[in-house]
Amino acid sequence: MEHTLADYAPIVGMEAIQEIRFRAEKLEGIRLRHVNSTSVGGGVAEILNRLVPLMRETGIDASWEVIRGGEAFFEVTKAMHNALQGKSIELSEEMKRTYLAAQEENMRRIPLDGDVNFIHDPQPAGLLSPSTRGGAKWVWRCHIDLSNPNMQFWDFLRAYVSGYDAAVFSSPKFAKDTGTRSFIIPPSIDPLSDKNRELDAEQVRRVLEKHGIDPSRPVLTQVSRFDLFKDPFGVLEAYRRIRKEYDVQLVLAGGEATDDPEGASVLSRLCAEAVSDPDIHVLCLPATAHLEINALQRGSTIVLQKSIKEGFGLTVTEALWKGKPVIAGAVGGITLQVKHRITGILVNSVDGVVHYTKVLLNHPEFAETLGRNGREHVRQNFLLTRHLRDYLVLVVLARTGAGGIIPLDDAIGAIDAREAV
Amino acid sequence: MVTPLNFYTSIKLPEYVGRKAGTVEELLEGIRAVDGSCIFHHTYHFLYQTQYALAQPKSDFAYWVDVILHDFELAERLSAVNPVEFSTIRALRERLVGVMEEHLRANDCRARAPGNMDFYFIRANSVVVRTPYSACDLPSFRECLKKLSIGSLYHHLFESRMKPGIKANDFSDWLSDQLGLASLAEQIARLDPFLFTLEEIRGRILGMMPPAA
Repeated sequence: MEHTLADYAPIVGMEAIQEIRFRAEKLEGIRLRHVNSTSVGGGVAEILNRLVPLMRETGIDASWEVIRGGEAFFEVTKAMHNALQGKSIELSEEMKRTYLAAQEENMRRIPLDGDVNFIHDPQPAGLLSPSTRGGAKWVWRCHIDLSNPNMQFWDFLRAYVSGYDAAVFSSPKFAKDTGTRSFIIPPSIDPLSDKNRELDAEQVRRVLEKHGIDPSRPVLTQVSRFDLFKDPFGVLEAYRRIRKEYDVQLVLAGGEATDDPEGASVLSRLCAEAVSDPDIHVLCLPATAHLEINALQRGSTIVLQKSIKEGFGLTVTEALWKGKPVIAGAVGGITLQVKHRITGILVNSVDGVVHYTKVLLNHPEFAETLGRNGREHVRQNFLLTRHLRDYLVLVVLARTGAGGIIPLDDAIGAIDAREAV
Repeated sequence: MVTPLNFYTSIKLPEYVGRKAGTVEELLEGIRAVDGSCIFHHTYHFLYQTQYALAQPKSDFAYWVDVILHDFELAERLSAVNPVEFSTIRALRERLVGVMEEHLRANDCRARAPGNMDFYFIRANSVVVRTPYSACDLPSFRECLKKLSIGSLYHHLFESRMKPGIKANDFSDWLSDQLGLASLAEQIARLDPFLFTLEEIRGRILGMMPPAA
């Protein structure tokens, strides 16, 4: 379902919506072209599906194009995706040729006629060339963690990225020297989506009971892929130690892992562990089970995300938004969201999970404070409307080269630029 | 003749400047070297971003030293540096540097941030946007105040202190200079974002004004 900006006003406040409209007024009619590699599945497509209509509503001429390519091209870009996140893969001349041929083909097909062109991720990064540049500003929006890339692939990609007017990363931790300005725009969640919208207590209870979970006893939940980086066995160990003293239940909920052999193996080992304990619930849910995930998070006493490696960690954002006390690994983008002892708890070990779970079970008022702060932190910083606002500001900065205020050592500079932007 | 007060709001976009720190000493070097916009982001903007939780460190610097390096004494001392007490970033930077140098002289600060928990220096880029709101007397000021975003309140009350020629903040200066309400202006100037959230500050300012006729 498509929502309008006004639908978000009860959540973020009419002032925040007005702020977006004031900002967008000066951008009316500006052409924004988003280009990525898929129209369905994955976080980028999900966010563009929601952001582009909202941009249009503000008067911006926003559109979204998807690059095309054959099987060979997408094999190269999959290898590139993995290599840029550190995997050891050899970049062959044949791979380079395949990548560049697809870029050439898409340059001819896609109308790159924006005043600002937003190119998402490495797959279409090569679309910027002297023949396509025109008078537009070009922004490379990187959604992946580039902090430790395979340098062979990064050097190849950087040659293209350095020609952009700006790069955007989700966190400074994921950034790399691109040779251009690097802005930080974290991802966001949509508070009106099925995964995040309000549910009544009855809906939550029904989902818990459907899975054999007792709503009257404490529930510890981790929602994530069945992946060793999410440390599900660490969570299991923590649960077993807590279980000796507290009557808790554990929910490990994740998606199907049909195309991921490691995921399938992790899932089957977890299921085997759960056989002997009826209070361990390993739930393998379809990718469309948004309402169920929503209900499981809302029905939890504490939400865990004991990752040892993480991207931004949007499942943490979702749990915080639901006002849940969250105990999470101090890795990746989680540290932007969980401010230790303020919006949640950061841990580095199973011991940490055990200790803080006991603390929160015994001090529900502290758990409630964390949950309240966490929800407010997400409301102010990680909702879709903030994401939209940041993109509008980025358009201004990309076009003018500077903000209206530059805090200098002795005063605010460029204050007179306020009318200009 | 009263000059109307036009209301603006400022929206910020962070930018990574390619510098990070893993120890207190590296943090100090960074604070000395980065441009004023970075100091602004990690102090003023941090306060704005997390202003719903009052009992917490008052800057990114203090938070990182506390939670990542576990140097609680330095965290406390950095937390005590209230950015809104300074009228220039230069003065704020000098205070931060002074506190850290003193701490380094007296303590063996070898702790290094684990893993990928370094401190990343970020610059704040602000874009200031004119809102349609404008006040020419106290009743219209009151009505506008009710409608302003938190970002707008923050801009006029705290960010504006760094503008050249501003004595207290946009609101206080206008109330005093244009409407002759020096006492109200003085009360508003004393409001401290360390002690109240911006919503509370809005409520307090509305409470300070005489009731609408």
